[in-house]
Amino acid sequence: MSRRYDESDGTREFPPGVADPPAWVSRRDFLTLLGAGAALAAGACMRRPDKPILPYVQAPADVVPGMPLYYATAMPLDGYATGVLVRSDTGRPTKVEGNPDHPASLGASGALEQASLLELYDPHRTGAMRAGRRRTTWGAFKAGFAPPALSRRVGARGAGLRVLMPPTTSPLTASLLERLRETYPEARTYFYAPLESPARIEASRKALGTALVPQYDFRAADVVVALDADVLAAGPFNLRYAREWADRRRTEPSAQLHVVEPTPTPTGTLAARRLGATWSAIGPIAAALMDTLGHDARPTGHVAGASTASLAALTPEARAWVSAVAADLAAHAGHSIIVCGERQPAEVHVLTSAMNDALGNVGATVWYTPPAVLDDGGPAHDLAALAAELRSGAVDTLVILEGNPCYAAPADLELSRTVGAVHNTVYLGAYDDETARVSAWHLPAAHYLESWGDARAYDGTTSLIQPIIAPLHDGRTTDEVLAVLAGRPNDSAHDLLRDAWNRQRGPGARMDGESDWNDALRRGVVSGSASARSTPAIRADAVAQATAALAARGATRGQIEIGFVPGRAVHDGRFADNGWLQELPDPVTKLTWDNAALIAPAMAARLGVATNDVVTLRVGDRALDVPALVVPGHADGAVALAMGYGRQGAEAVARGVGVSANALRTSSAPHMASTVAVLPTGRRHELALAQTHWAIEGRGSSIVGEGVEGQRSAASSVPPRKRRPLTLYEPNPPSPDGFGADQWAMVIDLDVCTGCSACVVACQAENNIPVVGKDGVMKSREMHWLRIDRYIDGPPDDPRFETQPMLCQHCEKAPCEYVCPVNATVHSEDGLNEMVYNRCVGTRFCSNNCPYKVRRFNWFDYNAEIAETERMAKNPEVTIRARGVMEKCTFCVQRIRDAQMASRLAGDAVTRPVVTACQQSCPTHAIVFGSLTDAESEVSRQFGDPRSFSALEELGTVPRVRYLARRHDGDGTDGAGGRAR
Amino acid sequence: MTRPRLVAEFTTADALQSAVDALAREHYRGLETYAPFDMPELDAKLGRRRSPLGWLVVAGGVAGLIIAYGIQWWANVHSYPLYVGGRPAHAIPAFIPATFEGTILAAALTAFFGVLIMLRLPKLWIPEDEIDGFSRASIDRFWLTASIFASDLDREHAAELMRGAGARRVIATEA
Amino acid sequence: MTTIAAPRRDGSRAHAQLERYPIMRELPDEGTLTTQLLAPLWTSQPAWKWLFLASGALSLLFLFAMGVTFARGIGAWGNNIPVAWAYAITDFVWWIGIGHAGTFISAFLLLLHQRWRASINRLAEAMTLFALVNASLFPILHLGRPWFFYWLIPYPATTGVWPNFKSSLPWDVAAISTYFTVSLLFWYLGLVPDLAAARDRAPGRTRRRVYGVLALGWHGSGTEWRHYRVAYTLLAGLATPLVVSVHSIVSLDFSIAQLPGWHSTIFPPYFVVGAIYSGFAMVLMLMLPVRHVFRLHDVITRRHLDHIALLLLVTGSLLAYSYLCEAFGAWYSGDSFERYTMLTARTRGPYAAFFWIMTAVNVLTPQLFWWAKLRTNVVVLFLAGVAIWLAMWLERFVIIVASLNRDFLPSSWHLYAPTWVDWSLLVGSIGLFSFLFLAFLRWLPFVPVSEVKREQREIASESRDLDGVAPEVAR
Repeated sequence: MSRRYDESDGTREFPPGVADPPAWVSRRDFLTLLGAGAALAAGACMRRPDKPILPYVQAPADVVPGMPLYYATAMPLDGYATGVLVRSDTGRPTKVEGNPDHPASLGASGALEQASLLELYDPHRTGAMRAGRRRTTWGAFKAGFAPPALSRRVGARGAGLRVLMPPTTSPLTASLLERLRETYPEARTYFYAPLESPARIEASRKALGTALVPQYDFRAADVVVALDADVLAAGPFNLRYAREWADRRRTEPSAQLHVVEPTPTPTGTLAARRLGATWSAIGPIAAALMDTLGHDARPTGHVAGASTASLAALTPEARAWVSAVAADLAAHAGHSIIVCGERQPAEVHVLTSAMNDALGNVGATVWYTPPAVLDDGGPAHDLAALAAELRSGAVDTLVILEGNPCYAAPADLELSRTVGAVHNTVYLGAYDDETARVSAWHLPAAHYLESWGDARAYDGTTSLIQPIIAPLHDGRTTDEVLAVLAGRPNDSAHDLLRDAWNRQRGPGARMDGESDWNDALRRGVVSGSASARSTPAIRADAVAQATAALAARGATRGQIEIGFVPGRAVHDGRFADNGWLQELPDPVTKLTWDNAALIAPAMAARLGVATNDVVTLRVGDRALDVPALVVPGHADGAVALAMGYGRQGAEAVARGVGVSANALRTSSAPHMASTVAVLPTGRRHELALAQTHWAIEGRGSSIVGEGVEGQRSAASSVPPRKRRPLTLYEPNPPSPDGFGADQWAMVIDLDVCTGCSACVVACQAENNIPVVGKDGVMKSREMHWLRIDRYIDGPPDDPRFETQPMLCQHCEKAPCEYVCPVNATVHSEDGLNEMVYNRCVGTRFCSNNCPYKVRRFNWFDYNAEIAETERMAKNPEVTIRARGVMEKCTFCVQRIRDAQMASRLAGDAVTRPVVTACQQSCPTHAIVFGSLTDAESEVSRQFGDPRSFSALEELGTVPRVRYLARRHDGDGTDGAGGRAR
Repeated sequence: MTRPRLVAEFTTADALQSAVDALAREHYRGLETYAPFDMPELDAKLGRRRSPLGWLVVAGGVAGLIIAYGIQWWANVHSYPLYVGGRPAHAIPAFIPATFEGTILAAALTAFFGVLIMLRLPKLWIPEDEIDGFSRASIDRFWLTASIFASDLDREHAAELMRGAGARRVIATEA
Repeated sequence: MTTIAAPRRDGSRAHAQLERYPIMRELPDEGTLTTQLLAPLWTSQPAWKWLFLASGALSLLFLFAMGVTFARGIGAWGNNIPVAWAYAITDFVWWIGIGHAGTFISAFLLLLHQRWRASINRLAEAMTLFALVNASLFPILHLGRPWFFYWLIPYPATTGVWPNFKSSLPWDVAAISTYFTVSLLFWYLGLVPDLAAARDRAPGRTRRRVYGVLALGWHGSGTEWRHYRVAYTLLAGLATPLVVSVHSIVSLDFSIAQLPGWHSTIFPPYFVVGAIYSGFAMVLMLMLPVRHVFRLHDVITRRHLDHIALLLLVTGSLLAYSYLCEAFGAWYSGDSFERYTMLTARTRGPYAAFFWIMTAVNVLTPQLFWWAKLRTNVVVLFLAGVAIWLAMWLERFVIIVASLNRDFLPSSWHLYAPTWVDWSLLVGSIGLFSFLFLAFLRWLPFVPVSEVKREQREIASESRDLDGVAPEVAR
């Protein structure tokens, strides 16, 4: 028995001749270039990465080889912190997971957090400091930019000094900027991120009198209405919101989500009532919604006549949606939330606040806090102003602290040119990117996993950022550079942070400070640092103005609009060099390695274009050629183009992938532009879609359990399907190892799965899954052990979206096993379908016979020449697979065995709980894992749920993965969107 | 028995057949024929019984059957049983195809090597090779050898019979 | 077939055929016959050299494509998930199917006393062998880690792990190795008397020595013939069930899987029929040129053509029936997946064109042979052979790829497109076959001389005896 277990675990030895052939390298050149990047890696890191780069926060004594340590830190994105726990294997960060204590994470972690690990080890990161063409040193920089020296250039009051950085929430950065202001009163700092919009703050200033941002409690909401807001899968608090909404949905099945959006988002796919509408149509719909809410729920200062015009202007579908949603809202006054997308104009934000106020949600499910971002919505966030200053020639020294603005800025600012014209530019950046190329000085930026610092979450909660590893490329942080400018050139980021910390604690609090400090580092949050809540009253006049303004503007009828949406994988381009993210299929369209002009089927028919046809998008005098991607459910008349692609920097992975939406953006219309011309070019560009077939071919009941709940509840007296016996064909022999004690199983709740794909990246990180590149995806050779199947069915204008995470089902009667000629895939006593890599000869019969097609084949030697730094990212607990062998989901067997060994060492009766990588990352707790032998376990309970079913049940494979069927709300009630069952 | 032997060459199969008939009628023994193709009709006259090879092949087949099934049982049931597709380790139907093939293989090998052994082949030289023109036995000549005679007279008589049957030549050889 | 078998069946069509074409024309004496049949061994045809070089070049292409596959990995092919099997397995099934006609002719017809087989069985057996050489290459090539192919063979390994005999792939190993061995032995044993003839006719010592060794010292003594006869018949008897079993087992590679389009109980007979069908097509392709070039009209008469055409008609019709049953089974099962694959995807899916071509060619072509004239028209026969030969490759492609590319979950559906390596392997394998076959034509007696002589003698005796008892060929 033990022998079988050893077999199943897969040893690390490989036969000779597996790793040699370099012939195909040229074929996948992006990996070749990764290989070339190995030169950049610190040579000493190759054999024993732990010694030279131990984080000094941890005494080496704590490091036990093979025993991973977890550190709490926070990942800032657009300034907002998301708390994470980072697993460190003998000094190497190998996995990023959520921090349960952090308000933005609650233990979950998104795709971006997960993939930030690969960013750390990216061989294309800048390796050395550069001044002009010459290499330089930190010392030289300090000599040139500390006050006395710099004052000679920029003047004693710093009139010639400008600083540009992404929006920040860091108290430390704030204090350093304050100090900089003291040193150079006339120096000015600008903040820019392509995705941020001042509308939210502008609206709150108008309607609430001061700069405030809304906060929500989805656990108390029975009705959620999202106006162009991907609230469950995007934005600084999306992980928290998804978790809270899912919790509510679980306990209160009637809790519903209504969405109106131009382009389908994960949130939209979960909506009970989903309406496709262009960006400019959202406002009138909001007005109409407010108008329909009814007299009692009508906010003060609302002008009746104004919006009826807009209501009349709506399409029939929109009117139906508005009336249904309004009724639902009215019925749940005080228990509902209306969320408005950040990039909607201020008027819509005003109406949203007004409606929340009128419904009595404010104070119950909605409240306001001061924005965490420094000077949010303020003049310092106006990049155009900086551009003007640069053009005027008044600026001598421009210090850019990350953010790659020369790529991200709207085209009309021509920032690359103006920045290039500045005499003395410093760019702190991780890559030799577009901005680095026009900057005189280029300093490598430290990754957050290499940095000391702090950041605040969306609700203001402060986290300390501590390094898990010493900088691989001698990187520096924003704060260190600011310190140099502000005249503290010799303080390390750590010292700066401690100073700020102690000053904040005030004098004499040193001792407490010490314990607080350690506590904050350990937990990853500074307790009680969240911003104070406020529930200000709405200003009636503001509502009236907003309504009037919207009514005046109306929807841009007949015109085509383009919206510049965040790239779900690459965000604003910051992650463009990340292979994991480039290959992460878009949750809705399954597009990888590209961006595309998403358009509605009706519009595609009018234009006579199909997916893969290149169209020219013309906005004013700017034009861009983009391949079209036809998406059912997309708003007719709207074109969605993801940002963050078309990078032209030195990053080998990012370069040439997709086209840059910034070429069409202008500082006046940075997020949406109307009157777009879409012209077919007749050319084609093959998009790499991870899933080429969206229709479910009437197999819904077999695959996603359509109507399963109905059948069950119909015969309610009969208990839900009797589970099959856990024993295999033969009863388990008593196992001396005690491994027979558990029977592992998983349940995935399709009712709360957003398809956000965090689990996919988590699985990739945990299990050392290689990247196959665009042509690999086009050949359908993705290696993802866990994929998200997306079915889009029904009428193309209002389709039904089905989301289904698909992984090895660990069938008790596994079809893959009996066709393997060499016993390379067999069953363990604890119910795992085991893949024995070093026994596999690669007949691929198992894949042919797998009804779920979850088995992956190593078509090439994918790990042959990845960069040394990337090797550091590999999880030492998981075998690197050889060429020519099959692989697939193992239920994270390494974690299972760890737990079992720990339990046995501790003498526990039952095995300690096992959390798989996908389960750990899931924001909505849609994935439950455990042992069926424990009748009390959550997985046992959910196996008996009336909604539980197994995919392709009729094949008799008896999967150990069961799904909970999605509840399609509003079904039958209005039959909208062909949802009638 | 006395030496020498008689070796007769015929130009047609019929001539050979009549010669064999004649000698057999007079109970000559120790006759052997050589022909470019199979002439089963001679066997009766020469008192040859059916070849026992068949029984050998049956035995070989049975052995193959047992070995083939035995290997599968040993491997999958006894030596290293595994949980495979929730099926029993001793999956009899699954063992049938390989067993069948094993049977055929063993039987075929027995048949092939059996005949070689029985005929003591390869045997690159036989005394008759020394006779000039004997090589045409594989092409268009038919040979009859007789090696057992009571007396020289007896041999003479046999030679006569051969000539009578149309032997092209009859040679007495010590070989 | 039995109608053809009975030499006398008054009034029957078969009888008329028999009368019209003798098995062999009036033949010269054994000496000249031997000279004529062995002539190709001593004198080379001018065209032969060029064909031999060309096929050699194609064989090198085969080697190169193999090298690329071994060096880079299976990724050099077009295969993907879900289409994890494609060209290589198609080629494998195709070649092994072709192999079946040889054994069928030489063994099956021997047992059925089909004396007309005598003149063509060696050609057919050689074709079997060389087809099997290709067929046994592809499964190994196809492995992700070919250097571990021997893990499919039960041997006491240090890992203690054995092959899994619940899988049909070890059955394949057993079937193919057995089939190859038995075919080889049968073929060689049949060659021995003719090798002896070649030895005794060979000009020059070296050739005499070589053929002498190969002939194992055969002298054609009565004793030799007596055992030989039994051994040869027994091998025939053993090879005959192989004709049925081998392709049945190959078909199990598909039908034990639960994939719609594969998971069908009709597969074994369906595959066997298809195999023999494709085999006879190739026999025609090879036999007609050989007959023409080497002027073998005396030994390969119009009667042989007629019979092979009839066999094509029979097997082709059986195959058509199998197609029908397959579709009907899918429809009758009521299983939505089966129905989709067999009735929708096959007929209207991405590979529908191939499906219709192979159906049309395989079903309609043999129907030509209801007309006796066409059965003996060399041109028609040759073209029909080529068409069927190719259509049968398409059939395997459709069964494998058109089933895999659309299975249970629409999410994993994906198309397959071959790469140049896939093509090179296919074309190269044809090259290797031609190379071996041409070598065989040049250096081995490809018409069984002794058997022909035997037949000649029998015909002579038949024409002599007047009472007309069907002669018992006591082999």
